[in-house]
Amino acid sequence: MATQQAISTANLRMITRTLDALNDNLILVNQNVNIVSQQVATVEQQLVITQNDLEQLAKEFREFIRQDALMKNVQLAETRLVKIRQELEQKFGHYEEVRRRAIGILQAVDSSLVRKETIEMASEEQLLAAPRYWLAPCLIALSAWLNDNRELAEKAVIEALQRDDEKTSLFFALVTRRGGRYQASHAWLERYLGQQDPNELKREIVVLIDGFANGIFGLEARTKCGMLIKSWLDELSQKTGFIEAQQEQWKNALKARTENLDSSKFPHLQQYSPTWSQLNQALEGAKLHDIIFQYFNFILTQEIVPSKNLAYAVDQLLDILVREFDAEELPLRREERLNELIIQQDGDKDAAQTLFANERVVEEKLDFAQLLTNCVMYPKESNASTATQKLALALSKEWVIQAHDDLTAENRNAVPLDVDITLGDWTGKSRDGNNEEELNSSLEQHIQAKKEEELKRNRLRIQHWGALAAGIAFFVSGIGAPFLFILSAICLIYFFVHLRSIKMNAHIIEQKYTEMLANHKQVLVAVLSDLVDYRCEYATADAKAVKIRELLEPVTPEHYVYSSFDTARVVIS
Amino acid sequence: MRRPIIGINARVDTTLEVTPKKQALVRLEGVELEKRLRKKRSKTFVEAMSKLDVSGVVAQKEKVQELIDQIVNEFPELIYDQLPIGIVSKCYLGEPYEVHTLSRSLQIIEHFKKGERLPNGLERARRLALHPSYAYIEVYSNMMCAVSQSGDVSIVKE
Repeated sequence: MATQQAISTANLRMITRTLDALNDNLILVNQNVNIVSQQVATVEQQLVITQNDLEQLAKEFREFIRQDALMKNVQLAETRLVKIRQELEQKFGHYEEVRRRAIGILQAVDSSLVRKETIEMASEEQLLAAPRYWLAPCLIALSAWLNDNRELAEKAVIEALQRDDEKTSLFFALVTRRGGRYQASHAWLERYLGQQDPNELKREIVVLIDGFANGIFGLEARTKCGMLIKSWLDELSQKTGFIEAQQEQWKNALKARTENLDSSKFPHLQQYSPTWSQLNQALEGAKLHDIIFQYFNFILTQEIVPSKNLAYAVDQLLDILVREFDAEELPLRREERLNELIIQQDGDKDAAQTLFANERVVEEKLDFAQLLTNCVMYPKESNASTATQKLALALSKEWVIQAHDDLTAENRNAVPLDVDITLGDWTGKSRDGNNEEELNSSLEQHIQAKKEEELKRNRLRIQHWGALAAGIAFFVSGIGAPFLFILSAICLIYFFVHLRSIKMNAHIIEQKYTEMLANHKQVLVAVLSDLVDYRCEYATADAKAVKIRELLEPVTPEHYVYSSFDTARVVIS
Repeated sequence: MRRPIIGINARVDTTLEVTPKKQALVRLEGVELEKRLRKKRSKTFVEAMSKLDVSGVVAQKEKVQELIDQIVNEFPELIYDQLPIGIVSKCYLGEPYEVHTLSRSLQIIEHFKKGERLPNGLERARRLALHPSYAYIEVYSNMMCAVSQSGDVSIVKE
């Protein structure tokens, strides 16, 4: 009996020690599990950060590739531009001498510093140096005229007319006007105008419009031009679909003035609203009103500095006529323009192609309305003076106003009424940023739901409850068989260790979602504030649309036909 | 002999014409139709169309028919199916109403709250209808005409 007791005492002590050790080990394991769990959470966080970094890097890399391609396009366009200009110089450089001499002869005669024989000799040399060029026989005719050699002058004029009737007629209309030969000038002008079709005008017609707008021609010629312009516009307007085509053309020309929005504006909307691209486009469109207004206002208020005398004004026109409109150069000029646009668009070939197709500046033939559009929107490329720009704008104002009205309505129709906001997997809508409370409550509900879902997943599983039940059962049965106490203890420890772990996780989850809510709320406030600013900026920019109608409505063509070189006025409507 | 300027047509014809008037209309298409739709709207028409809510939330059937007749009279050159599908304009009945519509096919004036979708393809006119620059919007099958208070028309093609 005593032996039995001793064994029993010894056994229990050993068991208690073993259990203590086991308990310590379990606590250690639990601590280690917690450490590992924390480490896993840290790794998870780092993974998210790495993923974000990687996405950012990929984005930057793609942007780098795009920028690199654009830069290469610009470099290529610059190289091509140099080559094209060299080719122009090589192929048509010898015309330059003829062109300079044309003006040179006229000015030399004014100052009477050069002998007539020298002029005659120089002109003949040019005819030999530039075969097929229309201007060379014009020079011969000019020198023969100065030398009173009627026969030679007539022969040369016939030759020049055969080479290019229209340019020769316009050239002599200007030269004779310069010399004060009104009748001859009128006859040449009649000849030139008789060849014009408003549907297919050559680009040099701008010289005539320039002469008309700047008051270079005499009263009779100006009246004739005024009537002609009116009849052209009437004729074109009768064509079915012409006005609609003009409005479309003007819409494209106005749209081409759109400027990109500063990328640092509205950063939160950019980052958190999937609607941003529409918002961006709409604001760019609204800002276009002021850009157009400033441009038209500049044209209409720009001061015209009159030439010091008629000869000087005609020389300027002659210079443009002989230099800019030779059809042989057109393919190269077109290529030159396209490459200029690629450089202007920072290497974006598609944008440059679209602009090139829409502007139609370097065309061999164009209709009168297209010519007016080019004069207003691309004065440099179409060689239009300030006076011509003003006149062209006045003549086109109805089309411009209608095109702008349509463009404005399209833009207003494209502004999203409701703006989507996305924060993680939460989405909300706001119209003007005034529903902060409603969105905050929706955000809170969303995060609360997510938190509850995660907390629900963080619960005791069936095996844990099984362990608890087994622990209690073993404990109750352990009275008869004490080793069951050991099993009961193991089960209970297993249960309580997990219970503790779950409680700790619940705390972590609570903390995580509290932080998330606070962050999201901050971001939401920032997005809504951006939206309020956006709507204000849009409204301000959009309100400027009406200024264009106000600016253009009172404009009439007769305000912009100058008569600098005589006192008579001409009226066109 | 001078022509009198007062007293012409003093006799008022009171005969009631009951037979339907048949107009030999040439169907306008494409740019011709667009050209017609671009024409400035008459002042009385703009006023009528921009005050659809004048009869309150529920408009009388006679009132609706009168408005539809006004549309038909404003566009005498157009064939019935070329007339606007509906008119949309800003509602001044106050919250919660936002816009109202005059639907030609349904012959009804309806008022819509914020977020409530407009029927018969009229929803696309909501944004423009809410813009203060336009008195009302005419909705056609392939375009919209935004009409200002002065009667000027801006076209949005779709």
